[in-house]
Parts: sequence; C-alpha cells; structure tokens
Amino acid sequence: MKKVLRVRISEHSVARDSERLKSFGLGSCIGLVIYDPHKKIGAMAHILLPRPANSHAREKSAKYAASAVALLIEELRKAGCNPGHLRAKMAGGANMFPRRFNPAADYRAITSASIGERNARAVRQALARRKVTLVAEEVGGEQGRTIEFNPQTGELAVYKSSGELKVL
Amino acid sequence: MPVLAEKLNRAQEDALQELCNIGMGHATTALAQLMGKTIYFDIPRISQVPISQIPQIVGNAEQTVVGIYLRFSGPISGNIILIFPKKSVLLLRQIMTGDKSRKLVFDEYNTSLLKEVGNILTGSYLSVMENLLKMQLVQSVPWFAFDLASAIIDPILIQLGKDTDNAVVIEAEFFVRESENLKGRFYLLPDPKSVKLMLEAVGMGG
Repeated sequence: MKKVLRVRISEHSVARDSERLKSFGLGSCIGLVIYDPHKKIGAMAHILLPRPANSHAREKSAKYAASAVALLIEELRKAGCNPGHLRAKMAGGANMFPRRFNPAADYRAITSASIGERNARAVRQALARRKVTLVAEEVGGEQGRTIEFNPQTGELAVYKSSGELKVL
Repeated sequence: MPVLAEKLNRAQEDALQELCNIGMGHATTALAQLMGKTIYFDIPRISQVPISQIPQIVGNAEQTVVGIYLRFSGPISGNIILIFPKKSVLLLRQIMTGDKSRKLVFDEYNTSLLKEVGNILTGSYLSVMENLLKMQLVQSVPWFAFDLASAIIDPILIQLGKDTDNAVVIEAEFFVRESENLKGRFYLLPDPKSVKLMLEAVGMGG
C-alpha cells in the first residue's frame, strides 16, 4: 500500500519504501525534493519565500529556501543518507498573474508577482552552496502544479493545472 | 521575527464579522445592480489559521477557477481575492453580455469584464470599510488569474508570510437567487498589523 504524505506550505517531510511525498497546488511556491538514490529515501519541502525579511533570523524552517535546503539535508543525514550521494529536483515558482491576462498592470506594484523566479533562484543558490546537484527542474511558467515524489524510483511527477503530466 | 498574531476573542471575531457583513451587503448590492439580479450571500466566516492551512480554506486543489486579486492600502492594508468557478464565469458572462457560448476563452474582453466585476465588488466593500473605520483606502488595479485556487492564492500567502506565520481569513460566499450555479467566493486577508488597527477603529482593540 502506498502511503501519501502531504507537504503543506512551510512544511517538510521524509519518505521511504512505499511512501510518497505530495504537494498540492504549487503556485509561486517551490516544491523541493532532496533524495538519496542509493538509500531510496527522499525529503520534500514546500518553500514560500527566498529568505527571511530579517536576515539575522536563524529560523530552521522549510518556509525559506536556504533554511529548507539545510533542513532537508539534516533530516536525510539523520535518516542514514550519505550527504555526498544527495540529488535534488524542484518544481513550482510560476507567475500566477501572467502578463497575457494583465497587460496593463504594473508588476512593481505587487512584489509577490515575480516572486516565483526569485524563489527558484534562491533554491539553486542554496543547493550549490551545499554541493547538492540539482538534476532536474520544472519551474517558472504561468501554471500551478501538483507534485508527487517516489523515493523508490527518484521520480518526481509534475501535474500542471492544464492536466499535462511531466515526470522528472 | 514573525509577528505572532494574538488570538482574537469572541467579541472581536463578532466585530470583524459584522464589519464584513455590512461590507458584503454593499458589495453584492452593487453587483446586483450591475447584473439586474438578486444576490444573496452567506454570513462571513472568520478564521485565524496558520498560513499553511489557507490553501485548503480557499478550495479544491483540482478545479481550475478564475481569481481576481486586488490589494488595498492606507492606514490598513491587505488583500482581497474573488474566486469564480468556471460554470459561474460562463453564466456571469451570459447575463452581462448575452453571450451564450459554452466556450471559455480568456481574451482581453472577458478578462476585463471579470476584472471589472472584481473592481466593483471590492470598491463597494472598501467604501464601507472607509466609512465605518473612518479612514481612506486606496485599491490597486485588479489582477486576473485562471488556475487552481490554491496556486492563485500563493502570491498573497507570500505577501503575508513575510511578516507572519498566521493570518486572519474572512470569507463569504455569494450567489444569484435565480441561479445558484452562479456563485463566487470573496476573501479578505488583511495584512497582519492591520487586524489590530481594524479592531481598534471599531473600539474592540486589545
């Protein structure tokens, strides 16, 4: 029986064996998976923001890109994974209020409109700093996504809101 | 550090509910005049929840919907989003333009029509807030999205999430009397610091 562990905004979870990790309706948020293909264990974070507004805050949470990467690596290490074996995949970071629907709108008026791309960039930077290879990503665009990760195969299924499925 | 919102007490919840009830009354009256239909709305629900739970409040993770988003600012600031299921969008268009086609194309005409509905509802709602709270508010242009409700709300949660882990969500459903399939949901998500100011303005501060 497969067991689906739901990962909500600012949350994270670890899965192995028949467990799956799932995040619903990612818009500008990022669903990040870090996994060990040898141990077949994976961890997912549902990231909301690139970094805390107060840069001195040392929050250990999946809410922010940098702390989410550190948190997932820590959880996987505790689960017996070798940090040198870890790989990453991510999806999300869309622009939910696309230009084609909002041609005259001033994007500077709503800073969060362009946050998807900044979230993705912050995750890439955090992964590079921790020397975790990002093997696949499906970010940006103008559609929401639901994702499901299978630690057995290392596959990340990305369901776009249009119904299209892409497996990373 | 995140601002941890204090829990609203019962009287404060009631005060917010009443404020929003009056706001919804004006907003739906404006829409009723525009459409020439009678519009009912449910008593607004107030929830104070972690941001991570808001996507479930806003709805079904599988259905694509239209979202019209406006920000408002002034002494208080926050976010208003209107959610319309696809079927309601078709009916709304039919009533307002006579177009009976079953096909939904979000060209400039259709998106403008829906944005204008958002503008009118929000404008009437905020004018009630201005009167009752005795403050001037400015609303942004409406932003249009068509996607999963939980994905559309993401940019708003990002906005709120910068300052807090919890938020107040005020929600009300409205529907046309003659056609219950024509319905929409109205959400007001005040910025964290504004909830306190709203309560103070109606004499219900801490």
